[in-house]
This record gives sequence, C-alpha cells and structure tokens, in this order.
Amino acid sequence: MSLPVISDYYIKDSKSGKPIPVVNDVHLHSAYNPEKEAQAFVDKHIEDLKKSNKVLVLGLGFGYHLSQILYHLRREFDSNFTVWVVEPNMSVYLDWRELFSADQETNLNIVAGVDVEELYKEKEFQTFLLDKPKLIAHPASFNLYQEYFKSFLTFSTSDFSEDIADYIHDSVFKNYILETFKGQTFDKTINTIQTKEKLTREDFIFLMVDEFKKQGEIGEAHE
Amino acid sequence: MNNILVINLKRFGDIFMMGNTLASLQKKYPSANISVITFDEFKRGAKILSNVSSIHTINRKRLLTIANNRIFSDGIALNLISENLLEVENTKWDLVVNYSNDKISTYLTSVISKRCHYKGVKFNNKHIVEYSNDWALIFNDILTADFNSPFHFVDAYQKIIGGEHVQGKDLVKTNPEHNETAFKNLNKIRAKESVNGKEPKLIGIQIYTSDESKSLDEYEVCALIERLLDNPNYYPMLLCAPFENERKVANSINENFENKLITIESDFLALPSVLLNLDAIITPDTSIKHMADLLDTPMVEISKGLSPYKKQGSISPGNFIIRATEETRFEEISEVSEYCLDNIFNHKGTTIPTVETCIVKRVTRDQYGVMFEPVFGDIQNVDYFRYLASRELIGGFLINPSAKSELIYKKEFSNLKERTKFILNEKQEIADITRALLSSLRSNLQLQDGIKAGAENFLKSFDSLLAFCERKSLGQIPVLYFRAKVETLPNLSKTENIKAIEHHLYNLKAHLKGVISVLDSIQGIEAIVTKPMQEATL
Repeated sequence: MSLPVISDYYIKDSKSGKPIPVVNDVHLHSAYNPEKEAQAFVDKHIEDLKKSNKVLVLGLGFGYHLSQILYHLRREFDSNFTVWVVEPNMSVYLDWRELFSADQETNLNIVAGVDVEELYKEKEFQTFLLDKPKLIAHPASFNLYQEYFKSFLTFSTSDFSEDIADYIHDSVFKNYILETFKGQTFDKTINTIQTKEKLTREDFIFLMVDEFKKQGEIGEAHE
Repeated sequence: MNNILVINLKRFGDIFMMGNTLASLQKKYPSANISVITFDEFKRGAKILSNVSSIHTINRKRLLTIANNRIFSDGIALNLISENLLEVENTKWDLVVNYSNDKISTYLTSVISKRCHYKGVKFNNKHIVEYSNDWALIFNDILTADFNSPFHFVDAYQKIIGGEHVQGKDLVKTNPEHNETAFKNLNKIRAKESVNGKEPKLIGIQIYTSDESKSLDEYEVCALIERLLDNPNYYPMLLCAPFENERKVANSINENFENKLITIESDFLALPSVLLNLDAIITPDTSIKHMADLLDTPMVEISKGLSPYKKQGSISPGNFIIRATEETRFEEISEVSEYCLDNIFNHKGTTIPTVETCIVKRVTRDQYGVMFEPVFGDIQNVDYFRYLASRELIGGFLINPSAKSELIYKKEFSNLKERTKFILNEKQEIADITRALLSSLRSNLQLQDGIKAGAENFLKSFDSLLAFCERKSLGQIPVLYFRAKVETLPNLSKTENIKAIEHHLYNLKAHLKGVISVLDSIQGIEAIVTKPMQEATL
C-alpha cells in the first residue's frame, strides 16, 4: 500500500494557542483545545493502559494524545514500557519534532512516511508486534489516512519462498530455500518436502514450522 | 558418554515426571552432563530438577503467534527455529533422547541425531519413522493406544533408555533456606494442633488443577477437609500457587471454615521444601503429584475425568490412587481418602469404607515396574485380568517370543469363574485375528505369485486384520505391533515390500502364539491356587 496523497498541509493555531496540523482540509486535533480533547480521548483507554506496557499508536498528528498516553504509562510502569507510533505523513512528523523538541523519549519509536510492506519488514517493529501490544488509533488520523491504516491492519505477508528467504540469516539455509523451492508458496514447499527422496536439516525445520501452524494459537500454559 | 540431550516439549507435569528418567540416565552414565530442551514457559519446571546441567528453550508462544498470523512471514519462524537449533548443534552430543515423542520433538531428534545416537523415535531422511528399540515402538504405538495402558510411562522410558529405576528424595533441588523455614513453620503447626500430646499428620490438599474435568469440586474438598478435621490424627492444609485464580479458590474454600484453615502458597522454588516437610498430600492429577513422587512424599491421588493414572499416575510404592467416576459421591471420596491415609500411616482400627462407585489402587512395584494393585473395585474382573496379562505379554513374550518365562502373577487370577470367562473371550478374539491373519497371508502369497485377484483380496483381508487394532483385547497388542512395523517399512520396491509384509505376518503369527501361551499359563494356575483373594487385603 503506497503512502496517502497529501494535496494540502498547513499548521494553524488553536483557540488555546497550541499548534495543530491541517491536512487535506482536515484538522487533526481540536481547533479549540487540543490538549483537553486528547485528555478526554486517552481517559477512555486508561484501564487498558494499566494492563499493557506495550502500546501501538496509529497516527501522530502533533502528539497531544501521545503525551497523555506516555504520561499514564510512566505512572503505571515507570520507565518499563514501549510505544511505537505509525504516522504515514513525514511532513507532519518532522514539524512535530521541530515544534515540540520531541523525539527524546527513549521508550518511544516513531515510524513516519513508510510504506506498509516495508514497515512490516522492520525487524524491531516485528519483535514489538510479537508481544501483542495494545492498539490505540488516533481517530482523526485514522479517518484521514483510512486506506493506509486499513491496509496496515489487514496486511498479509507474502508466503512465496523468495520473500520467506528474506528473513533467513543463515546463508546456507537462505540459498537452500531460493534454489530448492523457487516460486513456491509455503504450503507447496511442505508438499514438495513430503514427497522428497531425501530430507535435509532445512526440510525438517520447515516441517516443524508447519506443525506449529497446525496447532493454532493455544492459550496460557498451566500444570 | 559426555553429553546427553533430552527433548521434552510438554508441560510441567511431564517435565517433573522426566526427573525419574534423568535420574536413570545419570545412574547409567555417571559422568555425563545432561541437558534438556523445553518450551520457554516450562523452563522453571526443569530448573528445579536434579541432574540437569543446562536448559535450552524454544519460545513456543512466539512461534505460535508467528505461525498463525498472516502479518508475520513464515521466514521469521523458520529463522527463529534455525537459530535455536544452531545453538543446540554447537554442542557435540553423544546421545539425544526424544522424551516428549510428539512431531516437533521427533523432527528435532531427527536433525540432532544425524551426528549421535538417539533413544526413542525419529524420522530418517526419507521421512519414515525409526525406533531405537522395540520399547520405543511399544511406547509410541501400543501404550498410547489405550487409556488403560499396561505399563506406566516412567517404566517405558526406562526400557527405552535401558536404565534402572532410581528412588530417592534428591531428584529435585531444594533451597536450604526454604527447607529450614518449612521445617520450622510446619513443626510449629504440628505442636499447636497436637491433641493430648500427640501431634497430627499434616496433610496438604492441592485444591487447583487447570483441567476442570480432573478437578475436585469445592464441596468435595470441603467434605474431605471436614472429615480430616474430625480426625485427631490429621490436620489438613490447603496448597496453592501464588496466582490470583488459585488464591480465589483457596479463599472460597476457607470461607466454609470461618477462614481458620491454613493455606500454603508456594511457587516451584519453595514447593519442594513444603512437600518434604508435609506428612502427606491429597491431590488430583496435577504436576504437584509428580513433584511429590520425586521427593517420596506420601500421597493419595484422586484421579478424575481424563486423568490417565495407569500411564502417568503416582509411582511411589505405598501411595494410593482413587479413581472416581461421575457417580462417585463426595462423601465416598473423603471416606476412602481417610482410609488410604490410615493405611499409609499404619493407623490401627481403621473402618473399612463403603465403596460403591470408585476404584482404589495401591501403588506397588514388581519386576515389570510400577504396578497398581486393586484395593477396592476392579478386583478379579476382566479389566484387571487384561491389565495383568498385557504386562505378562509385553514384558515376557512380545520382545522375545521364544523366551520361556514363568508368569509373575498367579494369585491375582484366582477367581475361577471370571478367569474362565476372560480366557474364553480372549481366545475367541485370537481365533478371529488368526483367521484374518491367514487370509492376509494367503492373499499376500497370491500377490507374490502374480495372481490377478491377489491385490484386491490382500487389501480386503489386510483391512480386516488391521481392524483388530481398535478392539480392546489382548490380541490387539500384537496387531498394533504388526501395524507399526508395516507403517515403518523402508521405501523398497513393491516386490520387496510384499515380501517384507509376509515376514511381519509370520512374526504376528508367532506373537499370537505368545498370547495363547500366556492365556494357557493363566488357565494352568487353576491347580495351584484354590482360595479367592479377599477385598481390601491391607
């Protein structure tokens, strides 16, 4: 999914004196009091923020809601939390950084102006997603960049061997996949392996992953 | 033998039960370092086992998330497993043991054993199952086929690795500080609760299991506690882990006793010290039971629902297992539990309880391993005869059909009427299997001779023969063995495979003769034993 088209962007002052971005004629925060609006918005998520120290925010704007989220996380978890923000509009991000001297927060990661497919290839981001963070979507940003965020939420990675091989660090394993299973999907690869004359170490690893897929996502372990 | 790797990808109960196998391995190879592979979330179970020099882990939850979410590439999972495996492969292993025997552990064994020996089951590089010995086949294909396994899994593992049973309290690591605290505190309670100078036995009651079908209901636990509180010989205490859900259960039970009961809350680090200092525990089928076995803590196990006590019940001699059914009243459970405790502690003047619906077994050992001797119910009936005869068959005849061994069970078969019924039914079943076997042999020879109808006849008779794998009988055992052998035939030519099947059919014939031999031996007991067994022979 390519980045949204920005036809018009400017900054204006709200009635309370705080700057707000206006993108394609859409005010990304309240034109009256963006800080108060942000507080009311994040207050609805307080109980969730108490339960999870990992939060994914869709949409940065000028970060008024982000400040509130960080405030609550610090109260609950001190410095033990991580927040990632996905913002498709690089210009808004750069202005936010300049206007608020922001980006100093060590627990905060912002990805701006990145294509969805590229975003999912980012290793640190993947690791963060594996911890199943709490998702908070900034309403104005989500509505404005709907196509982008929808494609983010419904993203489905390629299961072709050439794309799978991108994630393999061991060059022997990587080359084996590229040479042996060229053009095949994961499922087709499993079928190929099951009919092979002689299985290799790498084939057994594929079979292990296939077995994990068959188990589905199981709940908490006990006993 | 320097480095042994044991792969166990199961849950806490199986991790603790593995402690027995590790002890056997250490005894057999005293200078070996034994390492273990577990899933990450069960590592803390392996950490407290003695004989474990290092633990490798696989992050199961992460792999499941990756494998089952389309936003993550399968490449991430492949890479993660490859990196985990590289770490393990960096060590020069002399032996790898496939303990958990599931597909993933078998694939792991298949990779790691390319450069070392293995025990258990693996896939060869043609993806065909291979067994390290006959006991690996028996474990994988026979013992798991029946809920009422004739052999305990602990014994099967020992036969697979060729080790001996090790009994003792030092199979679990304990913390000296926790030991001292538990010793002092529990002794204080004994002193406080003593009646006329006699201290009661402290009985820990495990109140929680994650599987509802195996759990004791709250009123069952309360009835048990009430009964023990009424008996000056005992003082019951609740056992739970430091988790909110278990505390809730403990609090709810305690409300029925005006919050006067003592709850011992301990994690896996402290629990061994608690179990060492309690006099006994009463528990459903939980991982705690396996830990108690490793520490030789006397135990009454209450087996409910899907709990497979014959495969994975308590193994320490002198313990009791109460197999309750849906019809078992909670009064019966508490009465019988008290009776079992009286026998564990040799208290005189015990009243024999009214046992209507549950089966009670005492854990003993014989030359085949762990044995469950009936105390109430299941005495001198067909199920028990089949259990004993299966042990004789597998232990004595299946592995070595030409061996002539004496039956070890004789007085157990003294009920002539039930025994005769059992033998007649089993011999009829053998006759049916033999007919199917001969039909398969005939059509197999037809196939070899190139007779046109051979293939169709063979498939039909082969299907009929394999149908006996699903029928509960002594004959089921050799047919399961036969099926496992056929399923693991190497990839030979069609002619070679047909010949190989012929060979296995003849082996099956020999094994069926072994079954007849066992049945005849049982029939032959008639002249020796004349008195029937009494119930509750404690």
